[in-house]
Amino acid sequence: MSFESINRSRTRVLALACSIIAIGVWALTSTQIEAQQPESWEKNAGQRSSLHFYPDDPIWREDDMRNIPPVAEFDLSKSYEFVNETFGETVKSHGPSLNVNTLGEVPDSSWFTNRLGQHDMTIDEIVRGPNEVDGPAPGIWHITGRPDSGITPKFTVKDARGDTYLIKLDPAKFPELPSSVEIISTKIFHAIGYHVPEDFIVTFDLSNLDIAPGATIRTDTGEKRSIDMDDVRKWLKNTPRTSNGVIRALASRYVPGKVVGEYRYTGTRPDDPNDIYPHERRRELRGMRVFAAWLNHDDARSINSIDTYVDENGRHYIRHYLQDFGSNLGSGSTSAQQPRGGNEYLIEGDKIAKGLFSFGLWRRDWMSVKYPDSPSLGNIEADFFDPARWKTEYPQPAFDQMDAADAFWAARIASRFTDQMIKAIVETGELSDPAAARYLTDVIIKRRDKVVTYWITQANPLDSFNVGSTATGRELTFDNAATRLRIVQPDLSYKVRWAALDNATGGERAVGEELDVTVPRLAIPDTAWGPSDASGSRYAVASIRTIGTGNANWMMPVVVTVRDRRGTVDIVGLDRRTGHDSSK
Amino acid sequence: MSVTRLWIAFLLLSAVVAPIAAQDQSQNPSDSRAALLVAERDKKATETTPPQRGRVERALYRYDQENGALPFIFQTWHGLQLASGGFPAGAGTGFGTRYTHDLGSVRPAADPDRANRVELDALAAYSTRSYWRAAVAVNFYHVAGAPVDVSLRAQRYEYPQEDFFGFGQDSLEENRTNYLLRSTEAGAAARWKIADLLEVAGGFSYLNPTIGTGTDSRFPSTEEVFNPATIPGYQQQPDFLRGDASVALDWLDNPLHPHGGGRYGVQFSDYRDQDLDAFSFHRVAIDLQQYVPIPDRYRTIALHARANFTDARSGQEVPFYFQPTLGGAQALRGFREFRFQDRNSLLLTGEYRWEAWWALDGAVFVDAGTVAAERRDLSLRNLDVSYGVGVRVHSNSAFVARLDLAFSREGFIPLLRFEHVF
Repeated sequence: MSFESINRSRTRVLALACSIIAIGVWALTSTQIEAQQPESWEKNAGQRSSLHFYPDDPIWREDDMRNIPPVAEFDLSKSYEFVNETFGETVKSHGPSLNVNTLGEVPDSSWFTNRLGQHDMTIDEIVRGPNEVDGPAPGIWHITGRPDSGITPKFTVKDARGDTYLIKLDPAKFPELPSSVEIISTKIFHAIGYHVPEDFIVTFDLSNLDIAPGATIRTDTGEKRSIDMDDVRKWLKNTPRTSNGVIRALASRYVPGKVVGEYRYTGTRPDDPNDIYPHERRRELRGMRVFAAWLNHDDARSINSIDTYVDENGRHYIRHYLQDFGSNLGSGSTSAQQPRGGNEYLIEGDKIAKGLFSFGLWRRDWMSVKYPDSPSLGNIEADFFDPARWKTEYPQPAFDQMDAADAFWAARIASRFTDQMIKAIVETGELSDPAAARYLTDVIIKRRDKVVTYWITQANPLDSFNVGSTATGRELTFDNAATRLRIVQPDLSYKVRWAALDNATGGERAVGEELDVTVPRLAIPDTAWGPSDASGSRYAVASIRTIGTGNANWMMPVVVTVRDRRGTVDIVGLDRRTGHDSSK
Repeated sequence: MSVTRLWIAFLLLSAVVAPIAAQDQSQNPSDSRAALLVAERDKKATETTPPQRGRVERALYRYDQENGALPFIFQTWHGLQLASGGFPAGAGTGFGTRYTHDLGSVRPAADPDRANRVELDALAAYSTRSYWRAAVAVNFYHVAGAPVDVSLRAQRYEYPQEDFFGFGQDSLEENRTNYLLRSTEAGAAARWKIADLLEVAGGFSYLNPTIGTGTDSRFPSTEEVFNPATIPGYQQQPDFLRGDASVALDWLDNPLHPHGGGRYGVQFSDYRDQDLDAFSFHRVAIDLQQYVPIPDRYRTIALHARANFTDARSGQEVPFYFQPTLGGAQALRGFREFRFQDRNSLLLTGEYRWEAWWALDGAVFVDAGTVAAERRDLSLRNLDVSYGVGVRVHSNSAFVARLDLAFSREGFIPLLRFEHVF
């Protein structure tokens, strides 16, 4: 072998070695990149001992309104959703909510906008709700069509401004019922933070209507044909009239953007890059169970949502809406709510068998409930209502995944609705019978109290954390939501353990012994600050348990992380530990 | 510099630069949570796929788009609709087509409640036991805007396997025979809803019944077992002019699926022999229903009493094919259709129903009935009894179907029916 050939051979070996090293390095670093995807983030979220805070934590606005290419229209099948949710296992992702910030709050997003939960709202703001206009413009409304979906009698009109509205008619035997509950629910869900349509109570008569050119209807046999005034007369014939002889109805303004379907309460939409959290892991969808129970929204299912592809200053993205609250509270859309509604799924095999073979001797407890004798109220009450047992029409996967932390988040928002707000909201339903309006107001207040009392106590309800300065240093203050809301007596004590957090590693070092305190005011020990991380911040962690109630849930700690950013101290982490799935 | 050296230099540089570059890439998302989320969304943007439906979802989606199977079965297509034929019990499964058309209207979706609506209604049906029926009617609804409906109708039918067991309560099950009944009928009827609860009706029709040999090969024809001379109307069938008048008080809480209230009706029918002066008679039918919730709609006792009395004019007979019968799915359920017949009948039914599920009721029932040639012989001591259990399928507001398991001294009969027992 010549030198040259040996040399060439060595060169090839060296080249091969370098190639292997280079490939190895790439492989290793790419693994590191993979390891920083939300899978590991989720793992960290589930094991808060290794919390890793970023300088921009807590995030208050989710960047899920980024421009995306057009998406296909994809309607869900109501039959499939029913079958799948009743008999299938649709939840693929289990665990705590993923879309919350490090304070456990839901950032503003294409799904949710923090309103009453984070900010004070005036009654005027709440009553106005999502409305950007004052309802259909006066003048002739041009009928443009009649949607096939849903069971409520309805048609669409275009007003003088060119806005399209869905006109939903009340049933003959239940005047004012669906229209009032829909508008009341819309106001409440909007104040909570959900995207909802603009709804209005309107009055009109045949003389207000004409047929828009090209307006068609689909017949029972599926054929399309032109609408004429005979059709309209037929639609309106059995619609209840007000004392003035006009028709009262609900006008729901079309939401902006192009409708591209509905969203499921599981998984993500595969063609929406902005949609990265499985829906059953979204706190606003899981915690919605509390609001749904409050308002008896047993129809809270996928097909009562809308996704629209909106154009916001040239930026296109999918915005997610709740819609169709017509079977909330005492309404069943075309009749009064079934007494089963909110109490039992449509299909529960064991109860069917028990009901059949007991020959009527076994009775569901809800069968004995008495409801008000008022057609504009339907079947709604607050005394029998039990938030823990309340159910949707059929299993709702996100609701089933709700844990105590989700429920606390929701109950805290519900608690922010004052009696005066509720009274003002009920007034938007324009019930003609003042006694009915009073009853409904009382029921909604009582049901609010029940959901708040139940769900706020299913987790350690420490709240309102703040950091202040004292003569001797910094102190952490908080309160107890249950005592603040007068659910329990205020004579509580707390056990507190401090730890220093190394944010770079996630490691915690316990500081001192567990402290017993009776006043919710904690001096932050100097030794509780961990080492500074790359951004120059240091962190102290307090784990606080509530003692003296006998409530096991309150013995689970609330873990509060305080951050010192070169002298600026704030709360950066709030983890409400839950011992069990409170939804069960 | 040789190519090999250049290659080595590139690889060495790669080995050094790659971790740095990788570090840069890994640091970007780790700098901030926002960057991490951006990276995740960027990643998903490269992987987007259109939403897809699986096979089952596709099928159910199509089902939804077509408004479900029930409309397909029960609704009309260009006025055409599937129909079962309205055959009597024991006819087998009926298949037919019904055609309805609003006269003077260009489309079927016109307001069905408008005044003076005129509808053409035609039906043709056939059954698995060779029963057939063709009928046509012109119906006038809300005449002059009043709650009055008028109908002009004609039909021809052939029921070739009608059962006959003999007369009276003592007739024998083993004497089951069958005969053919064919008739052509034409007439008019009117119904006036005087008030919310009260309705009167009346009408007349011309009937042309014919009796023939039964075609059910399982059982002999009637004339093979019974002496035709002892069966009124078997050998000769005149034409009849029939007149009807009825009144009913109805305060059922929901006629389609009652849980409370009642319905009490009386009908008087007069049959006049047009040819032989041998078979003129009249009949009084009393039908009483009462629903008693105990204490609410989830448990109900349903009570039903029905009596049919026929009286022939002096020296005349009541033809056997117009006599009241007991047995079958709606009268004395543990006995076969037409099991008992005579000039008079009495039926008493009690049913306890309980809601097992929002769409299913359980039921326990007892039926008792008797027939007799003379009214005074309708004795409560001579009642035949059947009993059983059943389930009723319903929607929130309407009955759909029932399955009854009925027992009597003559055995067990399962009954699947799509109409209420009464």
